[in-house]
Amino acid sequence: MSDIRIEAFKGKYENDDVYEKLLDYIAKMTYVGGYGFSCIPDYPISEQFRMSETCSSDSSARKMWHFIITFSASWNHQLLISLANTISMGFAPEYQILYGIDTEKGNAHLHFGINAFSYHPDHPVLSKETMHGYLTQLQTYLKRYYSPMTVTLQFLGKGE
Amino acid sequence: MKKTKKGDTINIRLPKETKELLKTLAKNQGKSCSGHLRLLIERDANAFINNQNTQQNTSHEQITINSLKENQFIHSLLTNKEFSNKSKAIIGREIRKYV
Repeated sequence: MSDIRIEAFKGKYENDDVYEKLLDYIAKMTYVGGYGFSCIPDYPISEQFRMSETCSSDSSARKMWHFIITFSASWNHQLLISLANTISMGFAPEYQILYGIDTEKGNAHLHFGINAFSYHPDHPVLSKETMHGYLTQLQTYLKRYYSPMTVTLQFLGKGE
Repeated sequence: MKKTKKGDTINIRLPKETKELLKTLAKNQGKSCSGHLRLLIERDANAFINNQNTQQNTSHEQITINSLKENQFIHSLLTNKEFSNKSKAIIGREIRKYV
């Protein structure tokens, strides 16, 4: 098993209720944060995500991306929060993102839910190729920053 | 309220200083007191309507961009070493209420 593992889940995330389900799942975790949403009564974060789809000039069957980062050892929670924030900031200029840090199951690990639709209406959706590019860059970054730890990427069921 | 050919008449009560001020302002504008008051009311109404329209027309894109500052503040709390892990978890529970 590698020291750090990035995995983008295979699921299609196309259902109408995917925003509520995935964001609610992530928001139940111990630590939660993200970019591209406000905490406003009467305007749920899931609706703010959905609005990007409504306003987008692009189309996509996939509505959300879900990937995790797991660790073979236990990491300090503060370090994980900083890492989650750094990763989120990579997506934030274009895409809404919610992250959660799960400390209940196994070693603490990170979950990310990213809107496939940009909140800029004229920007393209986060396609499979673009997402793969983001995660490959992330893998390179983690390898460099946490050298000599091993970092693997599992993208939609295929290991790299 | 009295109805006349020119419109309806209303009585208003003003402090003496305000009445004098109204007269001076109206005279400077070349208007009667009634004309000046009507102008002020219409301006206020237009400003109110424009403000409502601005709020309604603020795009989702702009709302989301504006939210980034709020998100940045929350992150500054989450990455602050002086806050305990328990406090940071409370922030997460609060965010969850808005999902």
